[in-house]
Amino acid sequence: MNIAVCVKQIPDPAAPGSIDPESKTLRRDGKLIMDDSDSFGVEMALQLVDKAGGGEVTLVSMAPNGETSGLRTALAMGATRAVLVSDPKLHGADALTTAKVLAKAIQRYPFDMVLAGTESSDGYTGTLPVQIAELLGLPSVSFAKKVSIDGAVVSVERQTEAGYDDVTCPLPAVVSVTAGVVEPRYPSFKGIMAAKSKPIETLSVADLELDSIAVAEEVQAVHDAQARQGGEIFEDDGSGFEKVVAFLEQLKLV
Amino acid sequence: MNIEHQHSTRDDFLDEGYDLSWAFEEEHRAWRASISRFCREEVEPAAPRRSIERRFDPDLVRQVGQTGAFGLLAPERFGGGGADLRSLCIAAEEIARFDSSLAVTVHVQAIAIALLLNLASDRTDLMDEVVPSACRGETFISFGLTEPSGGSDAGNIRTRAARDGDDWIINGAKQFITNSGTPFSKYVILFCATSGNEDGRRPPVSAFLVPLDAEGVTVGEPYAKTGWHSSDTHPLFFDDVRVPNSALLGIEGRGYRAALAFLTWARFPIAAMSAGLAHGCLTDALRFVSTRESFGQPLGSHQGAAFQIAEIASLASLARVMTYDGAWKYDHGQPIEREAATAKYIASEAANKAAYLATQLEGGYGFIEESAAARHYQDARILTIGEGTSEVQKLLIARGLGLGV
Ligand SMILES: Cc1cc2nc3c(=O)[nH]c(=O)nc-3n(C[C@H](O)[C@H](O)[C@H](O)COP(=O)(O)OP(=O)(O)OC[C@H]3O[C@@H](n4cnc5c(N)ncnc54)[C@H](O)[C@@H]3O)c2cc1C
Repeated sequence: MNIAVCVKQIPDPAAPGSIDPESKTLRRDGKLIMDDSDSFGVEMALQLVDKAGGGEVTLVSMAPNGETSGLRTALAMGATRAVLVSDPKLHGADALTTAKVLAKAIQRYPFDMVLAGTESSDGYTGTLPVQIAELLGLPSVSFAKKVSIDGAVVSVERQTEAGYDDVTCPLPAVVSVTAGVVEPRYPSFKGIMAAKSKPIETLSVADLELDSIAVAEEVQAVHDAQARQGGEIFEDDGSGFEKVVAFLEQLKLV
Repeated sequence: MNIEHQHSTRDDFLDEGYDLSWAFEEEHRAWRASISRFCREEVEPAAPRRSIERRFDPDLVRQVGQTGAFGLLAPERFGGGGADLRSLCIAAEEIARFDSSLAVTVHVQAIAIALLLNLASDRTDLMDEVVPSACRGETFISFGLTEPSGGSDAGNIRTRAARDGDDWIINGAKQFITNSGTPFSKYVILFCATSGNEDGRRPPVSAFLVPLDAEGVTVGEPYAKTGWHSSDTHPLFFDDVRVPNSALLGIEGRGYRAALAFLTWARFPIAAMSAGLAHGCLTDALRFVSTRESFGQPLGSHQGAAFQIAEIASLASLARVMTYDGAWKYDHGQPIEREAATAKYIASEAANKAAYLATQLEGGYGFIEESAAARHYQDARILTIGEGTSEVQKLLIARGLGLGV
């Protein structure tokens, strides 16, 4: 069982982010870390490979400046190797461009399944996994909250608003997992040391024979989110509950 | 690990300006990021309850085992991490920011494993049997040196091991032994006098690996302590305990000197715990003075309170610098006798002062065990006592300066 996992490396959410005035996209020139939402895909892959009795977990990532810190974290968790695509041509890449790059990178090593997070914590487009599936000509299952493999079939509990759907799908397939699908492990000391010598293949778009790729999307403008309006304040004179009920009725909540 | 509770993997020390960039390699930073995250997500949340309930948590210990913290210093061949001293100090420091009891649990196990390997590395069968599960934290090895008659004068050992054919018969008692009564506790490295002191001189002391379930070993009731509430500490009693000669570690009569010389570095993890505790005081007190209003403004806007915060921050930085300067030297094969004594002394005193200031800043809350400051205050007290008191460290420093004390 070989699994490819998409891993995004993002600016640390705990540090204040900033927008590049030129490209109007998030600045990514500092140190990047593994997106938390991808740690679930990595853990899921490690567990599935383990259950299948062996195999490889290959990480695929696209990031500027040859950044590998986030990949090292995932390698320390136990992944086998990483493929990183880093090219100035990809600066400001939109989701579809990224999907084209990753779909190519995924094909460098044999795989039975591709895992990804549902959406990244810095971009939130949430379109990448299905785009990759389309580009690879594979079926895709999104919002997996439970994943198991039996032979050449993957079974997924797919989160819905009302509950979940039971979905089965032939492999190879692309599956995007929700936070909480599994509990990601903490990289152990041994894992960290082992990760130092694990291979990270760094590629340009030319290496992927994607020379003609061009970033198609352009961000026209970025606006601040509307400031939240101050709510209405009532002094509770003993009839406060009536106002609360009236308010909820107005929203058709009661 | 929950997405809603995301925490920074960033080194908080950057904020403080004491990241000691010269002292760490990339793997140290990665290890700190991993263990720090583990601490915030798994250690911090229940730390107040564990402490208040005086509860040692076996499940948490199992989780720590998976991080590799217990076996850091053991070679990979025996299931350890093959790590250096800085890596152990990082673990001790990060854990002590939230839970000093857990930090000392890790510290004692890590040094006991290292000592066992140091005394008996040639005994590969025994090492294969004992060390891998100890590295995983599944079995604990405690360190039995201190006796009821006094710990500072550690060479004055009254527990006796007498030869009986191919065996040894042990009689005596040890006091304040960490990790000796947990569900994982399996062995004690026991220091015993191995011949009489007929000529009035102190008898030679040897080290034994004694199973705690051997006949004649009694693990006494746990102590009701002033701090380290969720760590495990008991007296041990030995009543005609028979062990085979294979329990003797290293050369008869040399165990004590070898152990003490070897364990000089073990003061750095205590200094690291002091740094972590002081840093924990800073975090908690800073949060408090930023949110508490007093006389119409945040408490931290009063110079009197702000200066105390600056004082705590400086003490935390002092403890950290002392720790990693010495640990770096040790990792690079340089002598550390003076550094170890100085770091242990200064860092532990700094931690006590930081805890005193933090509790004072938090007023009544600082006296309530729910507050991190109060727990740090309780946990700080032992730091100038265990692993050699401040006075013992000063003796060593003074002797190093040529004074005849
Ligand atoms: C919670 C806890 C856990 C512990 N865990 C362990 C463990 O796992 N294994 C272990 O072996 N020990 C352990 N200890 C013991 C610890 O190391 C000793 O308590 C410590 O070394 C001090 O020894 P003592 O308590 O006998 O004090 P004493 O040696 O009796 O000292 C009493 C006081 O006299 C001072 N003093 C002594 N001699 C001199 C001198 N020459 N000049 C000036 N002042 C002096 C000391 O500094 C101290 O202030 C633990 C202790 C505690 C409280």
